[in-house]
Amino acid sequence: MSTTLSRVQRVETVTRGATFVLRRLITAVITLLGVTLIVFFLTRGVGDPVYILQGSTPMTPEQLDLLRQQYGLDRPLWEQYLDYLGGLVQGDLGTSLYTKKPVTAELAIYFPATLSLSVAALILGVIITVPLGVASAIKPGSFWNRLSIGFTRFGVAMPSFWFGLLLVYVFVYVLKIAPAPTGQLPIGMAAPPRVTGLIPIDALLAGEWNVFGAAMGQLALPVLALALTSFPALLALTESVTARVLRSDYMRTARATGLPPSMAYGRYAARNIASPIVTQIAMTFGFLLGGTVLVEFVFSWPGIGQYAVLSMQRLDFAPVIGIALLTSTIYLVLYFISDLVSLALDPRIRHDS
Amino acid sequence: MTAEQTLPAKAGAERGILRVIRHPLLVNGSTITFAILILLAILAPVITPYDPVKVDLSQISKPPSLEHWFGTDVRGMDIFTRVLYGARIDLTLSIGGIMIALIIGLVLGSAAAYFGKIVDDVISRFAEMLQSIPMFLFAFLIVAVLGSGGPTLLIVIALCYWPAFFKITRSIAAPLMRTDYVAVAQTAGRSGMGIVLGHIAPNTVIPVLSQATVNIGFAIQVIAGLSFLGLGVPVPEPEWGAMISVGAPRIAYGEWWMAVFPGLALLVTVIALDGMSRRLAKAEGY
Repeated sequence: MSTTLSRVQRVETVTRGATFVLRRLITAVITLLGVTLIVFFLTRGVGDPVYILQGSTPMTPEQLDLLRQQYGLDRPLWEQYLDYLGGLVQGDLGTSLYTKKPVTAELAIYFPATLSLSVAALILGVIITVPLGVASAIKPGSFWNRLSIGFTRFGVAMPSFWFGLLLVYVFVYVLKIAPAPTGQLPIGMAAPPRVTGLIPIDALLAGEWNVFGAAMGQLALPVLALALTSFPALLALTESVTARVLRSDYMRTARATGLPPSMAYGRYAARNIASPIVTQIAMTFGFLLGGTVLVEFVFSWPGIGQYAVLSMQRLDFAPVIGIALLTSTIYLVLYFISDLVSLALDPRIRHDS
Repeated sequence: MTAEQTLPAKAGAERGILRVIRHPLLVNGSTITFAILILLAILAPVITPYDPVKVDLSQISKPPSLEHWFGTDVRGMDIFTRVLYGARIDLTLSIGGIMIALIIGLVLGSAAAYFGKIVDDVISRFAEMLQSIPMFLFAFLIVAVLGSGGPTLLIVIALCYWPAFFKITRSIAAPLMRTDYVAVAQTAGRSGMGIVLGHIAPNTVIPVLSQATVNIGFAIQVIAGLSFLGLGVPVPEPEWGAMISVGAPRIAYGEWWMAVFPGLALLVTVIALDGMSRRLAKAEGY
């Protein structure tokens, strides 16, 4: 009898988990479709596409009409949107007016630079803020607690691009211990053979230690500028979640009934703290991928952010639209994955949702 | 708080505002700093003898001195003067943009809470869609459609920040919809609009104000960031981000003052606004 009951419960738990995943998936897909819809109508707002197509040589109205027919611009807007969506699904983000190359191919060139910058900043930021948040929550009023408050205020108020400029002034001009902000490698140094597109990793794979060292040197300042300004939310969350868990009734019970600290903290506390932190880390990473625009610009970093700015200045909008779609898609995918991780870490979601 | 929720909303909210304004916590470093900033911005023409956009070829790239407290830039313009006039531009645009965002958020948040169901779902999804596009790229798209300049920045700030106000209004208003005084108002035959304006909106004022204060700081960072990239307020105008962009290429040559002073003004302003927001939240107990 008891086994049947528990089996029923187990089936119910699994079904609830599946419903949760399915609901989140549907929400993510709807949100993504909405984003493409917003972006599609914004692109129509940029101007009649035929004027962009005609380029610098003016055309007669008849020629423009022909062009409209050729590109299907005379059809109803919703049909055009479906076509646009069909193109997106096949990875067609349009063509850059400036380089005349497909935007997708251009993004493949610029994206790895942003990825290595964001991943490095994420690693440094998480290493600083998660332990600091936990230490700060353990003892209010302690040195760590005050450091954490200071870090949060600094991160909220400090503009990343200005902080980057200050770092350049102090470390490049005054102390002369950092390389000039010339992008991913010093001027004149050849990039390692392209395998992953991430310069430090490619240098390691090729066994070029001097290139690896130079690449890490180039990364140092922009990563610092991002890591010290992008993580106040993660720090605040780590602190509040840890404080709540440590002062909860079940932790007091666990300790009072003699559960060893390794079990109480290592297993029960850590699990409850981990789930919201994972979600926040995923969101911060999504934010970094789309939010490195200013820092990339300051450090001449050849990533998608700088590419977006250059395209804006050339009035070449297809790449900007492509980058906006790419980064919001990544953000939504990360958000969805973090939901799955929370589901695995925190059984309460399976039971309650 | 629970006792207050059963009181008529208007009386409760008015007392709340008075209590917060009179609160001793409100007179502190942040509010005094911000008040001084506003004063400096208003009194700029009295404080400094220079014109913020006048080219002076005899005073190019001078370091800070008694004559030019913050030095001069590559066009010989006095940076101290430009920082003061810059406060006018940055504060006007950020406060204006956030005010528009606040009104949109309050209206849509109250509507979502009042009507619930489909209205709530549609607005909530739309807010999520906007928030899942990275802010600067979304701003780029709007600049691409409308062109750069001050009015576009107002719209950028309004469109980027209304979801924040929508969420907080909705989260406060939705539980209120289930309270007795709304039920009483409904049975008494008050119109939907009347209930929203008279009973729901006033209760959201203080927390929304706290949110608005810190968001003005973030908005200044966005305005300065876009102008720094050349996509906001155009360069000769005394805007802090645009001033930093003039100073940025000179910093590698040791001419630090052009980028440092406008950035410092930006930093101090955001710290003051962040501090004010924290105090407001604390005073109200959120």
